[in-house]
Amino acid sequence: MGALVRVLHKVLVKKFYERNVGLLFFVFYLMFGVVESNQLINYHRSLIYGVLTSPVFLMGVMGVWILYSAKYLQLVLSELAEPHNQFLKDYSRLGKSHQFWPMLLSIVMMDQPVLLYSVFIVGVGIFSQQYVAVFLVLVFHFAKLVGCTWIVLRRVNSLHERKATKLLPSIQWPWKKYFPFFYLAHFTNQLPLALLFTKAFSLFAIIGFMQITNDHYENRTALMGLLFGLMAHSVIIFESRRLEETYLSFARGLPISMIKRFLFLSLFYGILLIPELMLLAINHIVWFDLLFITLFAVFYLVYQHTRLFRGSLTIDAHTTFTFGLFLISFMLVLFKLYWLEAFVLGILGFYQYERDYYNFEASA
Amino acid sequence: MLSIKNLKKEYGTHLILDIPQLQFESGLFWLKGNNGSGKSTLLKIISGIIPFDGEVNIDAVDLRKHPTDYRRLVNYVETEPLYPPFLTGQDLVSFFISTRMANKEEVDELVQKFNIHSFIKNPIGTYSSGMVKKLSLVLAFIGRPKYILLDEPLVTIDKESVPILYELVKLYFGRGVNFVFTSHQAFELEGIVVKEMEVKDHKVWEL
Repeated sequence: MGALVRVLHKVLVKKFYERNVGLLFFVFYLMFGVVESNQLINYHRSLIYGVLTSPVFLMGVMGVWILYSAKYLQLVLSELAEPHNQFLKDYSRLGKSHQFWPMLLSIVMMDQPVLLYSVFIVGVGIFSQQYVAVFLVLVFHFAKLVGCTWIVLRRVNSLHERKATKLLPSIQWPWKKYFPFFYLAHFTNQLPLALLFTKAFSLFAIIGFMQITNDHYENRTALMGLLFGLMAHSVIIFESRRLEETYLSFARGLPISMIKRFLFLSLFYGILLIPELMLLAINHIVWFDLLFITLFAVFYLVYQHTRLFRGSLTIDAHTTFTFGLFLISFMLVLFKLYWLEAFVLGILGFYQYERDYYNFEASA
Repeated sequence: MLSIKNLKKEYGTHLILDIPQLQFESGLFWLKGNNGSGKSTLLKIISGIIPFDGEVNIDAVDLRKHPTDYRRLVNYVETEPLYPPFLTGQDLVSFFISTRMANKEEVDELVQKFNIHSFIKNPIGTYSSGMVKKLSLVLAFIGRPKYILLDEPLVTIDKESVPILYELVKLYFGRGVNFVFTSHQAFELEGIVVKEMEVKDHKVWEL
């Protein structure tokens, strides 16, 4: 069982955390970073009391937990469809209970952030004698973990069939696809849920920050929301790089100049950000600001993408980097220097792209 | 002429290739060698898709100094190519036509010859490995390359496609295109001398 757990950990759990580092940081910051440290315990105690005493609030929280589960389920199911993971077909030769426990453990590992917070909810619930709510939380998690394990095992046991299990229907474009759209088609076809989550987070972050009212024109509140949204795009960036290494390696041999490749990449991220930019436009951000905000947003994502060509980049380094870039950008936005950051990120992005694109090797 | 100078390739600390000097003049070159000898790595280096130390050029067009012009002169197809499953064969063919500035009518002929027109508009995810290989061979002949590099071109294609591939190699060779290929099976090309080479001990030896 130990060997099975290790394999599942490497193939599924580690990948989930690697690809969602940005999103997890974003949620962690929302939960623990926006409240002053001396208010943190009281804040969370009130939040947990709210969850335990209000059935509507509890259902809402459970809804968020289900979305989180859907996120790791989507990753697991797409990973199981990958050619390099077909060796997991052998997993189906095991008996039912031998299949169940290692997979359940992997699901628990991916669910860890939710489960850890739930431990506090249960603790506070028992302490405050909210036994019904505690019971509901425990039953919910039990059913969710067993359900997710069952869905994954069902997929594992049908790996010999070619059809894939997907949580959302994939969208096959009826028209011809051109190069920058290869990336977008990948998300609409292979990872629609990841795309949907990212865009929903991003748009809600902008809407949320724009609720902060001002008596004069102020684009920084919208920009801060956009910054959180951009951070949530780290999943998209990881997946785009993975697509390049897995299925677009043939494009490296094509006679396309580095400038053109960089423009293709920028165009992809520009298209991806159309919903956010449209939201800003209809909220009366003046066109001149919108132009620089567009450059800022596109190069923010492009820069992170080009940084992933560094072979020596480890997940720890990337985690620190993602958060560091967010903090620096946050400060620059506060001082209205985002236009400067847009140019710096654009120039640095192109520089490291040109330097590293052909020097990157997946095995490095 | 394809010329290689002071080429060195390592994976981590494991030396794969160490070639002081190598030239491929015009012709067909059959690279032989054991598994792991570095044949595919050499083709990948020549195609300009993986990093290496040294110099590679075709007719004085240097891979490092003029990367885009150089890549216009080389087409390469892998043993088991992987393409995005959500794209259609037609999407890829159109993309190659535009990047290699190829003639669409010529490519249509290739599509007909390899008999892939019946499934080219379907997503690649629905193709068998043989169908993917045929598509990759069509892509290998698109444009105006000076060298076409084929890594195990006979693997996974059906018997009917083998003579079509031979016919195309002959046709393009007649037009001045040179071929470097690896294969565990002999190429039966009547009237054309195939120069045999072996990749062994990190070097390439003429046989």
